[in-house]
Amino acid sequence: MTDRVVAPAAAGGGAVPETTVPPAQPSQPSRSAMAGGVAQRILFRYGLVVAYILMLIIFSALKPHVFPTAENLRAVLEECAPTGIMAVGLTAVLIMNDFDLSFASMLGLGSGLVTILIVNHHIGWVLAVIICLLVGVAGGVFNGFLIAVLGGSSFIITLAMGTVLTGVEFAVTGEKDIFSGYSNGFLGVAQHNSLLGLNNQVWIALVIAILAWVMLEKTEVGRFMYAIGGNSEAARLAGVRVKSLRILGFVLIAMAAVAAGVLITSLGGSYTPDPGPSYLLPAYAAAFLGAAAFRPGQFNILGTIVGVLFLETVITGLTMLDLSTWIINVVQGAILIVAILLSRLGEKMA
Amino acid sequence: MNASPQNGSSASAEGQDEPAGPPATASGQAAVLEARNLRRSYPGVLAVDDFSMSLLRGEILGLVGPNGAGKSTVIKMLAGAVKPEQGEIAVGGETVDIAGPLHATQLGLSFVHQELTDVPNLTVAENVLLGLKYPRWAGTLVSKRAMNNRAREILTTSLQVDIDPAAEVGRLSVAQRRLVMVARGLATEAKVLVLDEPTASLTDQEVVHLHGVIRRVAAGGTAVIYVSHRLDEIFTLTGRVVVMRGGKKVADLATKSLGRAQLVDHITGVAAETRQAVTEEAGAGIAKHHAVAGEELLRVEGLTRSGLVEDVSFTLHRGEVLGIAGLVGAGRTELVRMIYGADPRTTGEVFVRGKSTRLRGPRDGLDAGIVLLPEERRTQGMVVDFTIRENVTLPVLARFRMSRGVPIPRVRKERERVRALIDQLGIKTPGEEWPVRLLSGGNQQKVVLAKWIEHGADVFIFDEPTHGVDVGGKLEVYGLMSRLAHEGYGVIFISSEFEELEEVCRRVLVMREGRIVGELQDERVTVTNLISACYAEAPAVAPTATSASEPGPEVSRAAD
Repeated sequence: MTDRVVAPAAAGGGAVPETTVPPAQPSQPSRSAMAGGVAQRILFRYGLVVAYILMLIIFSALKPHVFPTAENLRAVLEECAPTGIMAVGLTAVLIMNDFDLSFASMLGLGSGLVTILIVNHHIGWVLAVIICLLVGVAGGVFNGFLIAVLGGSSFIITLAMGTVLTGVEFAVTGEKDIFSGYSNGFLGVAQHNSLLGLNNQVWIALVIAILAWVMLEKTEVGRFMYAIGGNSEAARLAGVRVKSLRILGFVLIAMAAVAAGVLITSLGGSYTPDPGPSYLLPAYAAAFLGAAAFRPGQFNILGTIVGVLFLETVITGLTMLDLSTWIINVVQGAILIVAILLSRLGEKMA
Repeated sequence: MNASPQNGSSASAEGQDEPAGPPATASGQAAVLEARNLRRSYPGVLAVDDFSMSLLRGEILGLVGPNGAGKSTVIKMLAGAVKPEQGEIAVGGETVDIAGPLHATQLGLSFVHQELTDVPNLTVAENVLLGLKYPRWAGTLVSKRAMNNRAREILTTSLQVDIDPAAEVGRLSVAQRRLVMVARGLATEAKVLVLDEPTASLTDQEVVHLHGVIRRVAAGGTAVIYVSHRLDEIFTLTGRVVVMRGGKKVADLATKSLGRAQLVDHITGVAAETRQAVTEEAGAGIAKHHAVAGEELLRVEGLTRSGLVEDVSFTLHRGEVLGIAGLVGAGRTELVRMIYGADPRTTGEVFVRGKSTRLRGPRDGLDAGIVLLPEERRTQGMVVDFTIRENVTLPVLARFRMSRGVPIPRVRKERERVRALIDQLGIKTPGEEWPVRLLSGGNQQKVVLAKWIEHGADVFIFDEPTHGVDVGGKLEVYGLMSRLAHEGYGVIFISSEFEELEEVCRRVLVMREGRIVGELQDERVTVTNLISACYAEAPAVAPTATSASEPGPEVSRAAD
């Protein structure tokens, strides 16, 4: 791939007379080698997209009357929205080589808190949502402080914080199911249909995804986050505020989790204790799947979004084929394993 | 495998440029360990090239050479930590493919590494017997008492030190921990004991003691490879010396046949050649024009980081390239990292243009006008998966904003600027969007340089900037430092290659064990003087030794 310009033996003994000639002629990597690399990289970059399209074709062929319909598309998108929001927030954390296992509990706390504020305390839904988001910010800052400033392992700290947050959720809600008492305004947040007959939460998820994409791909903050993920010590020595940005990552994922919790509550018009865990794995799965695409070997928003769609489509398609739950589980897990191996491969080839 | 493993005299015939001295020990004896034509390279560097040596039973062999000569790589190959690309290793006359540390131990090779590789939360006894079979109760549970007895036996009889086997290793002093490591090396009853700078942090008394232990071990038939930068140790302890330079063996001689000056010559040999080449190539390019006349730019007062850097004070002037010499572990890197703000300081102050700086993080160093080219290029200097552009603009991204207040950099502006820097520094790359990972070492270094040139500063700190850079690239780096000084900036230049300090610097501080132990100026900045100051040879170094080294370290302490 590369032409090494440096003579192999840097301070090599006998070769001094030759190597002292400054290498004036730029021996550049050949164009053809670059072209081969480019073809390879394109394959890895869009492999996930190609696989997704193939899957759509296969399911459409197998279930032509129910799968390729506007109805199903809407169902898939609506199903994707909460997972997508969390997966997008998670991507920022993963980019910086951190982990967050507490966001599922943060989702539960968001869901419970917004319910109690509206149902028991009759607070306006806008204010209630804002309070919940602020709680999310506080939780994220706390996580980030323990991890980035005090140096705890993000895996263990967030695992423990998840338990704490679920405890707080139970304390707030009394661990009771709540089915009624929500204001219509609040229920409309997710349920209300707007453009293209899709409900609001799809559009909210889309806006969040676009904002995250702009932040990570276009702004200084995004560049710094990727630099931290690539080499946090080099980033620190280059003057990047590593601690603050890592804290920011935990704040973003916590806010995303609260937003997802609020939307789930609004859509269902109900609260059940500890609703989070079923969202934890899909969000991780989507982010890791996404790391196999667009920026191979790296977490990225576009990849994450395709990952979310991919996983949801697999589940929908397999369900339509009337397969047993255990097969769906096995297939879903297998896809994740293959995707992670693919992204490792992409990392090596890129 | 071979008909007869060679004896000492044919092994020393490998030494190319010196009449071979007589073999150190009884000739005709089978070598316990033989390395034949070993070769190992890392990206951009040929670390070990065609290295052969043999080791006799009961022999103490000194392995010396400048930093980066390939000694550690040879040891790693013997330990099975890295695989030789070419060549073979024979133990007891049989060619072996050392699969890993465990295999090496089974073969009877025992290693005491330079770094403390103990387990701090285990007891002394547990560490000494680590990897060996712990004594047990009825073949099941570990017997603490039997283990402590075994360890005490090794510590008291072999090492003759008084360390409680039940003490937790993490609570011992560094010197004690090192002795525990040596005890571990002895516990395996190895045929070959390899000691990599075992005296690095020991006091003179402890050194003498350790030497006694090593002699006794060798008298018992164990062959010893002893790596050290302290030349006096080599002379008092070893029977034979192998000198490495640039990955090659350049001498293999009986210690008795060597004078100190001769050994220094061997260690620095190619250095002299390079120096000549550099001078011829560069001509007037690297003039030492930067007089020490400029105003004070940086003043360091009593800077201390416990255990690493002790009470360092110096000043840097405008237009000066100030060298800092010292051996690995002398505290040079730790010192400049503190000045930059990358590491916390225990006490002391840093003034830039007379103003005290905060230095709580690299950001503060940058704001104060200090930049640091870190020693470890790949792990500290750059984000390897980033492109050249992304690396160069990382600290200055805000300058490329689409408009003020909108923190979105305009990539096109970045690319233009980085292209200009690529031309200016002669970085060999297909383009600014090329990942730095795919560049050679020298070009990677230039990317790091480009980053700091683009950032700009008053004080440029270069920590081993020519490490892994070819001769042409080195000249460019020297030229660049001279140019920066000429333009009125201050440059601090850390190097383990003393010839380049002699070439570029008019003033050099010498560090040892965390302290500044000397300062050389003008015509006294010579390789010989630097070496003697660094190695702290008290009497009779080379005939050219100046006052900087003669009266011993304390007298010549830099006092400004």
